[in-house]
Amino acid sequence: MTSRVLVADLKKCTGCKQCELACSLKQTGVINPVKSCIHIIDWNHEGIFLPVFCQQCEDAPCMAVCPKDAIYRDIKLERMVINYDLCVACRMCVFTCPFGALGFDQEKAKVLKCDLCDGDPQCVKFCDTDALSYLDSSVFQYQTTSKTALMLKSATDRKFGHTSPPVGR
Amino acid sequence: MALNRKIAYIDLNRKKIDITPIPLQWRRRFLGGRGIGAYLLLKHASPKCDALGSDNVIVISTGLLGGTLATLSGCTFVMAKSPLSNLLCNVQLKGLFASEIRWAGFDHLVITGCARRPVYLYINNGTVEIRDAKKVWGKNVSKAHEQIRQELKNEDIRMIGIGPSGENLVRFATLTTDENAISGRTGIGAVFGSKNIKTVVCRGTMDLEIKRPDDVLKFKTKNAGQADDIQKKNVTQTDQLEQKIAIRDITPSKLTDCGFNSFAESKFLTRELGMDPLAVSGMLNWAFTLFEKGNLKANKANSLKFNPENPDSVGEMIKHIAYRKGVGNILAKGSFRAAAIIGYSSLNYFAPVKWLIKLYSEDPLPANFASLMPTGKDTDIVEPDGLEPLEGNAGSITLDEINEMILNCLGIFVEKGLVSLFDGDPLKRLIEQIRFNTGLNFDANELKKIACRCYALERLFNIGEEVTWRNDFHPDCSFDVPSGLEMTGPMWDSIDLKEFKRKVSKYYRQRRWSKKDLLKAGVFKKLEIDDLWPSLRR
Repeated sequence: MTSRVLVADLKKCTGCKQCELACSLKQTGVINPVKSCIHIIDWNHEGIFLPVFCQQCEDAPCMAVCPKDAIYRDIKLERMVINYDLCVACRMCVFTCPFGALGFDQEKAKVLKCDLCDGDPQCVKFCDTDALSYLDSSVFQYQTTSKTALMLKSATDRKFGHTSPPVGR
Repeated sequence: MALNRKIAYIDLNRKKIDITPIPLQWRRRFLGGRGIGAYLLLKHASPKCDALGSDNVIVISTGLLGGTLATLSGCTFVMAKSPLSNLLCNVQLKGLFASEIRWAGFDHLVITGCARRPVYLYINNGTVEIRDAKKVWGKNVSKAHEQIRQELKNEDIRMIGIGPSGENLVRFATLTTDENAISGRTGIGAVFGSKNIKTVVCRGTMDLEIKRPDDVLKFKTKNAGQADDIQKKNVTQTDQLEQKIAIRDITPSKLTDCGFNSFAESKFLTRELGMDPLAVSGMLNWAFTLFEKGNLKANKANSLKFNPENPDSVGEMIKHIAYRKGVGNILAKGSFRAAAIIGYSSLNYFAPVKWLIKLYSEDPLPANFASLMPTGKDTDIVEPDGLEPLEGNAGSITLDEINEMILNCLGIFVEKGLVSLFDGDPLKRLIEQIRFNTGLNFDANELKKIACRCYALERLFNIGEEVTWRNDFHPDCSFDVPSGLEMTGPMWDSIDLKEFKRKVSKYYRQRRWSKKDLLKAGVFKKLEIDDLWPSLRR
């Protein structure tokens, strides 16, 4: 089985925050965007919305900093997982995360971290505009690659006089 | 649970705040959102009050499914007596304010009285604070929002507020959210201004408990491609329609000559001042035509030379309306009040009369009024199979109307006249959503009764203002009389007066709506709103 990664397309995100709600409902059983593992940072007036979530780093700072070795890598799903039996809720991982993608539930004293919903991310399911997708890690960059290639092709066509309109592969 | 949200009664006269839970019985009678909003307004607003006085009441409501995963459930309803029409005005505001207010622990805010100094309301996790808004009073909408954001040092707050036009009591001033969504051309902004409220600020981090989380999460998977496609369709079609209106309201006008840039700028300016671009462009068209015809003359105080080809004069005129200077002061009263000063014949040049009735989404006219129009489809009463006829003197209403009201009560955004886009039977899906999210069980017939009841409530408010079915007619110029403006296209087609009268009387007959019937004690009992009877009996 090939591993998959969570990818966000900034151009498609409308900032509806359904992903936050779905995530918090799945993770904690209540709807509260503060307890979500994905956060939309918005610049409403400019129309820019940026989904921030755990990138499941290969050499993860959260794993490195954990004093109880409670964070480990799940090779099957290519994700970082917290073993809550070992976790002492010291929040070191929350502070260390370079993306600020980890959260903390004060009431339950529990670190909130994206676990990709065991391979079925709810945020992707609830994203009406398909801004979030769960793609094969070996090919996810091809979307951008082919888009850039297409732009380059049409530019070349213009330059050298080919009149055929650019067509997707 | 999703049902533990509360009502905050905010008395600005005494600076007192009462917080009470919402009785479960109210949920069963009106669901929430628009339904409970209308009920609270009827209960607290004194009949025949001055719309811009301290007797008027503002009710801000969110629906039963607000803040949940139900698509499009982020709709705030703001209700008050309209200063433009003196009837009930119900404003639907899109945006994240509705969800935020639920996470802050409230479903409804009832604002009574009048603050002595400019204030803003800060709602945060079960508390309501009345704060001084001296620093932001008089500022443009986005500037005021930005300043409050800095003052509270919080990037996540959500706001609805008014601009200078609302403060100056322009009778078509709107509410603006911090996402720049505007709504309320029936003058809700002026009601906020009359109470000296600049903004309502909200931030909530309270849990919204869901009865059956797994089912809610599964619900999406199961119905993917059905419910949500329809709702997506609704959104996109609404947006397209809005764009069309935006283009249309400017294309045939004098303003076209100013070029696109000044149009965009004037629209931006209008929004910043807290007015509705549609209403303002209608007003400007009217004013420019009247200037040309000589009905309206710039008085001494206002020495501006209005020239539609000069973009600056358009901007100036918009500012004059918002700050009520010179001729702007007359226009700010609204078309009918202005016509009382200028002369009623001038209304023949008022273009919006013709098309606003076709596309008005928040007016207090009968529901689904669009369907009475020649272009709309005929309103045949739908009696679903196997269900007993609906009781109560509110009469029976169409399935579209039922769906619209129920969606509104649940806090789901619906553009008027577009409910028919919800293919199939949305009630069935809504019943499931209510059960999964709140644990309340309703059957289809109960929901229909609730819809009838809520329509009757809104009707009752208008009856209190001495409205009869004759008030639902528009000035003659909206019918066969030539409007004096040379415009063609489906929007501008004349409406046949006889046909219109026939349709309206059929509409009332089917609903059994009349002033006499709705004001009988028996009807109140049938509709299960007898607790309102003493306050409305007169």
